[in-house]
Order: sequence, then structure tokens, then C-alpha cells
Amino acid sequence: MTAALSVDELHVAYRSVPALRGVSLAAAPGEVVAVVGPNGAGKSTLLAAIMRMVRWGAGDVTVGGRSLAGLTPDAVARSKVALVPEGRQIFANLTVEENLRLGLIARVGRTPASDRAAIAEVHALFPIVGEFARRAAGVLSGGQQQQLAIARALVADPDVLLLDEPSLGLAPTVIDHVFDSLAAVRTMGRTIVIVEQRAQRTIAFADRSYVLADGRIRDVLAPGDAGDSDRLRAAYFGVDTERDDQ
Amino acid sequence: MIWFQYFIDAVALGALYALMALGVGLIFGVMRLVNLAHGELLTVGAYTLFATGTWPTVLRVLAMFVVVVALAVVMERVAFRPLRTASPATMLVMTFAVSALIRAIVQKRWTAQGKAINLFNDLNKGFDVGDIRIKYVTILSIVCGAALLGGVNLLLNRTELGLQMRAVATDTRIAQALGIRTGRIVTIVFVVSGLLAGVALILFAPQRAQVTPDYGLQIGLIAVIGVVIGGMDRLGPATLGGFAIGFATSMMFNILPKAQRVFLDSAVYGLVIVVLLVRPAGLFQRERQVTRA
Repeated sequence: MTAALSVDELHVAYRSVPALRGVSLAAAPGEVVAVVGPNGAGKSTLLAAIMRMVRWGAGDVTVGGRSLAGLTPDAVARSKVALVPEGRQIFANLTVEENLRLGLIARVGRTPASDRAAIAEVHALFPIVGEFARRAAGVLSGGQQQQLAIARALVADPDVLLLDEPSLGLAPTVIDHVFDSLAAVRTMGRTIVIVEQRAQRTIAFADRSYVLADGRIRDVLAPGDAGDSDRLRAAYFGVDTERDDQ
Repeated sequence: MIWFQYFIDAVALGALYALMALGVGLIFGVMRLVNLAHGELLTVGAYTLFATGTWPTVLRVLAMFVVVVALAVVMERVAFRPLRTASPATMLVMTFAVSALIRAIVQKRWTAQGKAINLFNDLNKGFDVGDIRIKYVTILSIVCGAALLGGVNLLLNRTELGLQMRAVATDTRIAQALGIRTGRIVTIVFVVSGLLAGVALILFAPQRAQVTPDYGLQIGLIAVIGVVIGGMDRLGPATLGGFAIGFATSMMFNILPKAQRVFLDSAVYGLVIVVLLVRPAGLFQRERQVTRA
């Protein structure tokens, strides 16, 4: 079966400083894949690179078997890949409804009826987004803004949903809510890639987790490995057990 | 009654500067670019009208719009777009260079001698209401100004294209990641600003009938200043700033004794200095936004 998303030996450098050094990962349709790792590991760069928001040095990314090489970010968005950016990045000065309408732009084969159905679908998933449709998005709480950011990505009907630190800066109860909604999204059969610094919960949630550190994949974990903090620490900080003992 | 005459004239000139300021403000909104070359659209448009002087009026106006819009788009594509990620100072110097280059080219081609534009000179005629003289161009300026300001407002707030423009203005990177063709949106904004400049030119032409290489320079600069004193972070205040400076210029022109009119520029720029000192974030910005800025 063709992978929904495949990243092959991707290299990215900022000026001459390497941020990704040959990263490869794959996600099957409907799979939830996590990328965890310490701050500065290159996690956000990976998502930005998939969106073609940063220039690739070498390697390739394919979505449904088609390469994203040479595309602009708007063309990637129209190839059924949607990003929920770090820090939400909703348009605070626009209304909640306008934010959603912007999400519709990347939809393939739009009709007024399909637009309405897409909006209704996210309203059902995130009632708050429907309730506050006419309000300026900037007045929503952090958790509500995160729901709006996810809803804005979902109305584009993506095959691949990229989430950059969706729990960043949110209270624990709000994080519960975000993960609950992601569980609902998961049932829609979309492929989800979550980047998180907060690892354990994400590892337990995902079908498979890649540990990214210093621009390289250090380890691949199953949901059951979430509690194995020694292994996690070793992968995060690149220390093996022997050195740890010294 | 004479004050009402002054008032009407001032509203008309204010409306023209508002159209120019709206063009400048739109471009600043989506690109964070202060376009000092905006006035050169008027200059080149006016020379187009001069060069096509023997053509039928409809064709002359059409040719002028084509040239002005094309120039606006070419400016953006050739000079501004490659600098999108450059510092504001770099972009500002680039717009200044574009302005100077255009002035130099038209001066080379048509000399510094004034040329008659000869378009709709009959608009200077008018009618009397009591002892007030109302020119047709005055009415037309007010009507066109109001209609176009309203039209752009509708475009921005009631259409999907306008929504995309506002998204690009707020955060180009995220807008693009949502699937918006940001380059196309920027081009459309330059087309709109060119169209606004074309309409302004048609209304300026009967009142300033001789075109020289610096024809649009002063008008463009005053529009930029209007945008700054109005408050450039939002389009409404920016446009209002253009209106205000046009209004104040016309008022001062009429109030100053004839012998003192040489001091008009000093008076206008003196006022600008006072406004900038008192409200540096913009005359028409709400307090909340001023403190945030």
C-alpha cells in the first residue's frame, strides 16, 4: 500500500547549520505518527519542510506517492496536507468564522454545499467553534484557539494533518480535551503527524513514535514504550547506558 | 457662506488624497512596504494622456489605466517582490530609487517643460448655489471618493478575495500554508492601487492641467504622509489620514492671504510635525492600538 506520507533522507539547513540530517519516516493512511524529541531537535523544521515552508537540502517527501519537491507551500496545502502551526497562529483579528473560511481555500473540488458540510462537521466536533463563530478569534482562550486551529486545518479535508506542539502552553485539563478531539479526528481515517516535546502522552497516543534529536531519528517507539523513561532519555540526549553509568 | 465653499473644496481634495492614501495603505498592509513611488503612477498616467492627446477620449482613458496598472504590477514584480524578506529600510530605499528612476526617464523623454494633459477640462465648470461656486470636478471627486472607498471596503470585508487579502496582510507565511496564492494576492493589491491612482488622476487632471516629471511626486508623498499621520497599521485610519491632509491643505490654501500662499507647504508640513509629535502612532488610531503599538 502507498504510504500517505513518506519522508526520505530529508536534509535541511539554515544558512550552513544543519537542522535535519537525513530524516526518514513514513505514515500509512489513517495512522497516527508522533515525532518527539528535545527542544531544538528539528521537529518544527521537519513539519515546515513537509509544507515546503523551508528549503530542502536533499531528500524527498511524498504524499500519496506524489513528490512535493518544487512545490510552493500553498500548492502543498492544496495537495491535501494541512498544518496546525506551533502557537496556533490563528488570525486573531478575524472572526472565528473567517478563520474557518480561510481553511476552506485549500479544499479540492469545492462547492457551496461541500463548504457548508465541512463547516458543519467541525462545528459538531468542536461546538465552541460554532458557538463563537462571530467573535474575533483573538478573544478565545488558548484551548479554544487550538480547537479553532485544528478545525481550520480539518475543513481543508486533508489526507495528512500535521500538528506542531498542539499541547504547548495549555493547562492539563485543556490538553485532555485536545487529545480527545484528536482521537475523534483519528476515527475519520486521516493520517496524523504530531510533533511534541511533551513526549509520554503523545507516544501512548500514537501508533508509532520517532525520536528526533540533533536532526536525526534516534529511535522508533511503540505506544507501550511510553513508560520506558530510560530508553526515552537515552534517545533524547544521545547517551548510551554505559556512559550513563560512569 | 464662504466657509461652506472652503469646506466643499476641502472635502473634494481630501477625497482625492484619500484615494491615493488607500492605494498606499493597501500596499503597506499586505507587504509592509511604504511605496514612495506611488505618485509616479500619476506622473506616468498623465504623460500617457498627453502622448495620446489626439486619440478619442475613451481610448485615452483606457490607455492610461492600462499603463498605470501595468506599471504598478511591473514595479511589484521587478523591484519589490524580490525584496520581500529584506529590511523595511532596504524596501524604502528601493521605492525611492524606483521613483527617481521613473522621474529621470520621463524627464529624458518629455523634458522638464510642462505638457498640457487636456482631459475633461470642462469639469472645471460648475454652477452657483447662492454665492457658492460648485465645480463639477468637486462633486465628482466626492462621489468617486466615497464610492471607491466604500467599494474597497466591501471588497475587503464581504468577499473571499478580501478575506484572503486580510489574511496575507496579517501573516503571509500562515496564509500561504493555508493554500492562499500569496503572490497572486499581492499582484491584485497592486492592480487595485493602480486603478485607484488612475481614478485620482482623472480627477486631478482638470485641476492640475500641466504634467511635469514631478507631477505625482508631491501628491504621492503627501499620500504617504497622510497614511503615516492617520495610522498606517489599519486601512481605515490610513485612508482617513490621506483625507485629513488633503482637507487641511485645501483649507489652508483658502484661508491664507494670497500673498502668503507660498507658505502653504511650510504650513502643511508644520502641521504634520505637530501631529506626529502629539500622536506618533497615528491621529485616528484608537488608544488601545496606540498603546499596543
